[in-house]
Amino acid sequence: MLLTNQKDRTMTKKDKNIEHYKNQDAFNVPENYFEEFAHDMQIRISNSVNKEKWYHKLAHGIRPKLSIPASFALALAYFAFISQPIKENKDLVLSNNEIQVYLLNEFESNNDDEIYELAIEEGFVEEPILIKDEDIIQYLIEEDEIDIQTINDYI
Amino acid sequence: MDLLFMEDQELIDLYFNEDRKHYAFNMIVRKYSERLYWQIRRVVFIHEDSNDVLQNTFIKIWKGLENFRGESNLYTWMYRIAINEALSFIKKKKHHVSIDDDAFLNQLKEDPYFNGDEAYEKFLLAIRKLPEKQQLVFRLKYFDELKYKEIAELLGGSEGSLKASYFHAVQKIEKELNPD
Repeated sequence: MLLTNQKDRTMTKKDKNIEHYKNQDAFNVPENYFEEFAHDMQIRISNSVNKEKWYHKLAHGIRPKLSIPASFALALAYFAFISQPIKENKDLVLSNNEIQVYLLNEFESNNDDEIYELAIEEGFVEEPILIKDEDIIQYLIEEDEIDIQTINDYI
Repeated sequence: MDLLFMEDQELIDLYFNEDRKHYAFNMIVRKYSERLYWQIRRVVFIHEDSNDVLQNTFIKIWKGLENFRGESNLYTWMYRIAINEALSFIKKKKHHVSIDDDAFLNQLKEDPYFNGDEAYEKFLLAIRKLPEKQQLVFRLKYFDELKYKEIAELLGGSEGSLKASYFHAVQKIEKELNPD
């Protein structure tokens, strides 16, 4: 807010020192304001207390009359909804695919082999029986009487 | 015995006597309404608005006295209610009607219970532009001439921070009144 020359004539150097305003009596109130205020507050408080008393009487009177139907409604709700037996959910077995999805989400790995190893560790999948090539060759020689040269040619 | 000079604790004890409740509250109103009014008036500035805020303040005091535990003294507790009501009033008013500087000055001029000159109007405008907390500190120190310790009891905060707040408020107001 700029002070123009006109305003400067209003605002003297004295005015710009805020101590100047300290004892100025710029605000006043209507005559007998505070005496009348106390009286008005007394009436207002009495009226609000009487209104509250009226409300409480009404609520107190209605409460027993409302309590019987309210109790009945609560009892009905209990037998209708709350006291029903819990149905067993038989569909709790997860498929391997669901297990894999779970593991992918939980363990932040996209590597199927890691997931598979983890699934074995967690017991979701049975550990496979590992068969070495030598075991297969030995089986073929012993059981099927195939000689080693034929097998090597084949491989 | 002049009941206006009853100690606060005596008034509170009287309040909790069911038969004397209204009487005690009336005494509290008579004892403190003027002091609270002027705190409100320096925030709100206009007499009619101050009257509304003061009434709302005492309604809240009436409802809250039941739970008053005496953790602060009675006047401090009532002062905080009064200031909160005054600040809420201003915020609601700003929300409904945008009050720029000219509108504020017009309101002051139209209030029949304001008789300050133009310089004083600018002084009030400068106070109005201060941040909320600074305004409160300024008013309590400047107009009510409270000690910083007393201001700290009303508003909270350390005496050092209140001194700094008052110093900055004075600087801003003087700059506003003397922008050259």
